[in-house]
Amino acid sequence: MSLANSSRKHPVIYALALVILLVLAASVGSLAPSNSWQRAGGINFALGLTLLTAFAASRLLAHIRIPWITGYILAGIALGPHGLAFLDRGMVADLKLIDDLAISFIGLMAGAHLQVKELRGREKVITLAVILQTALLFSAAAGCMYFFAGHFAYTAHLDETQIRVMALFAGVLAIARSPSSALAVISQCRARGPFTATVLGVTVVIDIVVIVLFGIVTTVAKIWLNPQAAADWSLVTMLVAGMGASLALGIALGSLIGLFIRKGGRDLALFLLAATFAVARGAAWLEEYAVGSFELSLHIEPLLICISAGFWVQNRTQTGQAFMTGLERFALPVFLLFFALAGASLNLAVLDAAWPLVLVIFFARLGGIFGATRLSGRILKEPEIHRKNAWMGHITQAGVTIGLVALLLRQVPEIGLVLAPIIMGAVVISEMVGPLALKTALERTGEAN
Amino acid sequence: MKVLFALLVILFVTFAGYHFSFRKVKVGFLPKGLWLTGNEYLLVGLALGSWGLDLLDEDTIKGLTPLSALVLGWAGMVFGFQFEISKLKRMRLPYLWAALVSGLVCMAVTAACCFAFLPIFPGLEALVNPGAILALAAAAACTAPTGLALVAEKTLAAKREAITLLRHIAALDGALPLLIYALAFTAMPLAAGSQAGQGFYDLLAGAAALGLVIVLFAVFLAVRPPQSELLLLVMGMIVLTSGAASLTGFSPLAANFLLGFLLVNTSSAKERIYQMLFSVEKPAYLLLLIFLGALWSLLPLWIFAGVLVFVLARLAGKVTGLYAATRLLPLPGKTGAMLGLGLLGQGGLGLAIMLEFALKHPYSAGPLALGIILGATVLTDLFGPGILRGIFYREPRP
Repeated sequence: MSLANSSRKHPVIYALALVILLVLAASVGSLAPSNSWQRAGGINFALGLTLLTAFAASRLLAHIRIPWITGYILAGIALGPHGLAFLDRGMVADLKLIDDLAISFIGLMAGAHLQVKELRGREKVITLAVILQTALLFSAAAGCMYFFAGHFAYTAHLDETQIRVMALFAGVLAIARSPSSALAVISQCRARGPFTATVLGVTVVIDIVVIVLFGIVTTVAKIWLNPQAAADWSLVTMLVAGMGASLALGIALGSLIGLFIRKGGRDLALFLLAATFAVARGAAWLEEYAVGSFELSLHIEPLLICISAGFWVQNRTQTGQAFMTGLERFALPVFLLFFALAGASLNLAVLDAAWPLVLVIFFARLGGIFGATRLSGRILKEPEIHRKNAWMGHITQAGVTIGLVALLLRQVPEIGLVLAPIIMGAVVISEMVGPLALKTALERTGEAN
Repeated sequence: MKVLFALLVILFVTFAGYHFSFRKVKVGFLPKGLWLTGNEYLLVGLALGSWGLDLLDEDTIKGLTPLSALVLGWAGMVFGFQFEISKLKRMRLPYLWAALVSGLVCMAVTAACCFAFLPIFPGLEALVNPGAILALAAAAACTAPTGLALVAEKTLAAKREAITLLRHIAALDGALPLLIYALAFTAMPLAAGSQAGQGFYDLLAGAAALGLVIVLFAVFLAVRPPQSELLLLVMGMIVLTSGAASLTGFSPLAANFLLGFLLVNTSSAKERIYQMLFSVEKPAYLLLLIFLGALWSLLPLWIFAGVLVFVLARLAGKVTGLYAATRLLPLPGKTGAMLGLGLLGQGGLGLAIMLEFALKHPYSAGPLALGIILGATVLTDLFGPGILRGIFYREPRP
């Protein structure tokens, strides 16, 4: 019996568990800690409650065919500052320790899922999908933003140049995907096949493309906003160099993991946990050091390092199977905590401020995805079932977009402050709709087990 | 950042270390007792703590709360799993009673000695209060079965009755002391003016919350989750139980002990849960030792006198406890008066009690009590195996 099936059989039990957890949250969680011992207890209680609530919610919602990841996110929202406020912002920050670890872990899994033998023969499909999606999503989102920005009070104060720059960034950010969300759904459905490989391949490649485009657009934006300034393409150079370094580091890490497995691989799961942790913190430390000492951002991406490491182990060593088994031991708690905390961190207040433009961007992005997937399917004469459902596989959006928004706020704050709520609002909607759509697509194409 | 780095280092040390510890290596008889009980990890902890690299300082240990809660909860739950009623029923009843009597007497003797003698030494006055004394005494009453594992095969065959008795006692003698300690932990203020004890209604509310946690676990397990989900549920329940217990003033260790006791007697998943708990036994124990080592303070110097008092008090308690049990209960076979010396191994439960106590009282009695227990643990692990060999040499043949 598959995991997905087993979880669908006991809705009453999971509903009962949720009720008990909510009673616990309301009674015990409302106690005000009076000393450090109780404060520490409060963190443990929050962590345990988040784990179990997200678990119960996801399994309950699975009964009505909603993916687990959506359940995790909804549980996070319900417990977070915009729900029952059981997890306040401080607590979410305390539990963020898990985030860095999870991102790297998910990267390894994403890389490991990209199997060359499954991608073989799909190169054309993936390349065309990436080109068309990049072009159409960028055009749709940037065009809509440019056209509608002047019509809403939220952006009415911007001048023509600022609107143009904002449109460019909206276009780039609309292209970004969420490999972690896609992977969580694929993992839950135990999906395999050409459709799954294409979705994951496009998702990973597009996230690399979007980082490069972001660098280019940032440079263009700076020139437009400050015409006297000379063109400084160093950001683009650094982004490309950072990606190259990340890929190289990933290959080194992948070789190390492969060697460890060949030498016996005892406690592989623990080794991987420590390795991902080292990557996440090592990259952050390197970045801080470079910025602090040389005022130079290296743009080393932990996610990219881990994706390339996972890909290397899976496809360039003979240890892919053992590697996957080691990863899967921790997959459930990692996904669950990561997405529940992501749900708790979602700032739903942004929807209040800029909801019309949020909807504009969301639907423009949806339209772009629909058009691009239909077009590439038709050009390459993909099977009808793939052509009809491909658009549903590319809606998810999360980590990379959020990271780029943070970078935008640092690089071009005058535009970032206005655009960030709009993009974050669109991310909230995409993150709710995307996993459900992907799961439906996988089921319809017959690749979900 | 420091918390994350510390976590990484601890994970690496634990992961790399447990393959090398607990192995029989030829390092002479005396250090073998130390090596086989993982004492070197106390030193690793000490080196990482404020006496060494200062990586595990007070704030970092606070930041690693979920990990320490997981370790404490694991220790409590594993101990609760020892009390499966259907297995206890198969055991000879006098053995069970002997374990309870022995533990209780040892606790009483140690408490009395510590109460009488520790205040003599300057700097140890903070230990003279009911909460700290009971924590020390409860830890003293717990026994590790590790020492018995060092007994040679031919001795095992010759002294089967005595060894069976010691094994049963070592497995179960911590139960009553743990519960008494937990009540003291919950109800007693540590010292005048310090954190108040719990009122009756607080206790009632806390008990209700813990009851709910237990019901919750039963509800989850009713689904018969697959292994990957079971791992998540067990981890989640341990951390939730520890957190709920801390928030409501209960002992997380005792709360998880009760949870383990109820699970092993009611859940159909008990075998799978036990296998899971057992599979992380070594790393969890090493983590416990690292945390203890990091909190270990070697000051004031009079603490070494306190260690001696405690070791002697515990020794007296163990001997008296087992002597009382053998004289009061109809135990099979003949046993010598000093057989209680075979119960000197300190064991994980006693250390977990002390970790919990030290985490709850980081500024007053906690570091002192911890220093005493750790010093005593090193001493007994050093000399315990020799004493054990000596008493079996003297023990009458059946």
